[in-house]
Parts: sequence; structure tokens; C-alpha cells
Amino acid sequence: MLNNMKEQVIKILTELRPEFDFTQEGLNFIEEGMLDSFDVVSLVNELDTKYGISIDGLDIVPDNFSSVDSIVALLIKNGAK
Amino acid sequence: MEAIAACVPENKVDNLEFAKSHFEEDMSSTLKALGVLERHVAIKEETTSMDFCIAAAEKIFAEGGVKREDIGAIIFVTLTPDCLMPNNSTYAQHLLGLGKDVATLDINHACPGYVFGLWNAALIAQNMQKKVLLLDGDINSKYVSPWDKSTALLFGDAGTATVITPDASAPDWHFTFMSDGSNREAIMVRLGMRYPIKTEYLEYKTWEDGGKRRFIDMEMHGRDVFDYVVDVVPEIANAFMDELETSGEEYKKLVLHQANHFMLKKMAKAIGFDHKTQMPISMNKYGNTSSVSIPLTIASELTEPADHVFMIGMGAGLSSGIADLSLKGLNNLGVETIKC
Repeated sequence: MLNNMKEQVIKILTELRPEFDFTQEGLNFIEEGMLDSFDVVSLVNELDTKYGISIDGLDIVPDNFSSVDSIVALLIKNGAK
Repeated sequence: MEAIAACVPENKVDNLEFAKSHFEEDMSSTLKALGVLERHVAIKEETTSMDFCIAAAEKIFAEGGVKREDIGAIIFVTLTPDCLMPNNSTYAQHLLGLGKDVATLDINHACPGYVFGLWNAALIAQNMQKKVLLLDGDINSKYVSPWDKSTALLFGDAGTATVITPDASAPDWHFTFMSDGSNREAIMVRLGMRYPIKTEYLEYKTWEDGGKRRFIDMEMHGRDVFDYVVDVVPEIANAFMDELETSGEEYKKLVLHQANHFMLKKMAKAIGFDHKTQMPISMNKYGNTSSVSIPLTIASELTEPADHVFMIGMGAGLSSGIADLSLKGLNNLGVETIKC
């Protein structure tokens, strides 16, 4: 399940910003400028729809979008299966 | 609330096309999430918020069954007045041909302005035992840079008129407010006496946040506004409902300042409302029209009067106005367009 979720997240991220490689290890997507605030809005909207959840507004903080692992952890916390 | 009417410019901006031409990118997924697909923006330089509000008020006098001589006071909520002096409400008295005995008052408030206007209108109507004409208008396109991505895609122009009538038999209205001036820079238009105008303030430049705008244009730090809306405001709203011994499911509608759809959905969830069935949206057609967005949403979307409404205006200040009220019996005259 976890691997499938990771693949889905990478797919959505790549569709959002095709110019970046989101599979690269050790990158902080926010600090590297790979995702801006508009991208985060689009990403959360896509994830909410894809997983039929509503990510809590209080969870929409930069740290939760810094890597694929942090995004997957956010999804699980908000009930994604 | 006896009658309401709204007015927007005829000129409509397609946001997808606008994003392509101004920022050279496909922003369809972002715009879908923000929920602003079109905006109405005035073309003529001389157009002001006054024009929209006068058109809306005239519609009420012509079709809403309200007589000019019954108006005891005019309140004008705007952050874009025709002039700094005299105020808009007094000039509106003349333009609308109202009696010289009316009281006039302007309220300078942005996003939460309509709730502050309603509160004042209700108090004045009760005190005078006469009807109050509440005008709410803004021409945001005058100070929103078309080259600043954080604001350019969001804002539209509009004006509304609402008539508040004293009625001892009507259900009570309840209000609560929050003000935090320490965070005023989260969303700000610096044009004013603190920054006496200089030629350089009229030049476009790219700022540290990446936005290209004039010094006098609106500057918005979306992160700070978002945190306020999804964290602070729900706390106040929930405490207010606790005080009133109500909860989200007891209301017919949740009418929110139309900031952006994404943020509003998160906010609705945080205060126990179902955004799909309870939260009307007008920003898909009109964008964020600052304080006008609440009455514009009522005029545009509440075709049937809602007997129990929870209303939140939140943003610039930072400040919020929250109301629990009834719109039963409201004569809704809808939204008209004018060439401007």
C-alpha cells in the first residue's frame, strides 16, 4: 500500500511540476523551490479528490510537503487508504 | 434584512487565458483548486465602487418596494472611496436623491467589512426606527497588480446595496468580532497618509516574494492569511456557536467571504459544516471582491431566503466579523451588470 501511495504521489507531483525529478532522494521540495504555495494548494486538492479525504487545514504546513515520505505520512494521518 | 441587489462590471476576465498571457503557464489545476475561473473587472479608468452601489440601490428603489423617504441612514463599506474627503456615503445621498436628514457613515474595512456594516446598520436601524441603506462596494482592480501572481488571479470588482429594516418581531441577530492589528502586513494596501505619494511608488518592480507590483498595490502573504483562516477564525467561530448553543448542522447556509474555494472548504470542515450542501460559492463567477463577496454571494446564490445563516467575513486587519442571523423574507433582486 505504501509503495503504491508513494508512486501515486510522485505521479501527481510530476504532473504538477514536470520540470523536476521528485524521485531524487534527499531533496526538500519547499526549500529547493520545487513547490510553491500555489502548487501546494493544487496538490492538496488533487490528493483530497484522489483519496476521498479532506486533509485538515492545520496540517497544510511546509514541513508536510517537503518530501514524498512526508506527503505519504500526511495522507495516512488524514485517513487515506 | 428587507432587500438586496448587486452589480458587477459587464467585462468578464477568463482566468485561464489571463494566467497564460500574464504568467506564461498553464495554471488550470491551481485555478480549479482556488475556484476562481472568471472575474468581472471594470475597463474604464473613471469607474469606482460608487457606480456599482448606486446601480444596485436604484434597483432596490425601482423594484424592491423600498421608498427613498423611508431611509434614515446610509452606511458605505469600502476601501476604495471616490475621494478621501468627503466620504462616499454623503455623496451617495445626493446621487440617490435621498433626504438631507439622512445620517451618513463610511466604514473602511476590507474582507470582513460587510459583517461590520450589518452590525452598524442593525444598531442604527434599531436606534432610529428607520430603514438603513447599507452600500458595500470595491474596485479592487485599481490596486491589484496584473503581474503579481499572489493577487492578480483572485480579485474582481463589484458593489451591492442592502436595506436593513427595524422589526421587533424578527429573530435576534448575533455578532462577534476579532481584531489583530499586529498582523496587518499579511494583506495590505499601503496607499495612504503613512506613505505620502512619491513618483517611485507608481513604478512596477519585482519584490523579494517574486511578485511584480507597484508599492501602492495590494501585497498579500498567502501563508499568513491561510493560517489565520484555518486556525484562528475556526476557533472563534466554534466558541461563538458554543456560546449560542448551536452547531453547524443547525444552519441552513454558511455564507463566507469568498477568499478562495480551497481555503473555505478547509474552514467549513473545521467548524462542522458540509461545504457541498451548506456553503454557497460565487467566487467561481466573480472572484474575491473583498467585503462585497458576502452580499454578492447572497444576491447571486441564495435564490430562496434562508431562515438561519452563519456568516463569516475574515481577512485584512487581520480581523473577522461573524454573525448568526436570519434572512427570512429577504427580497433578493439578484445581480445585474453595467458597462463600465
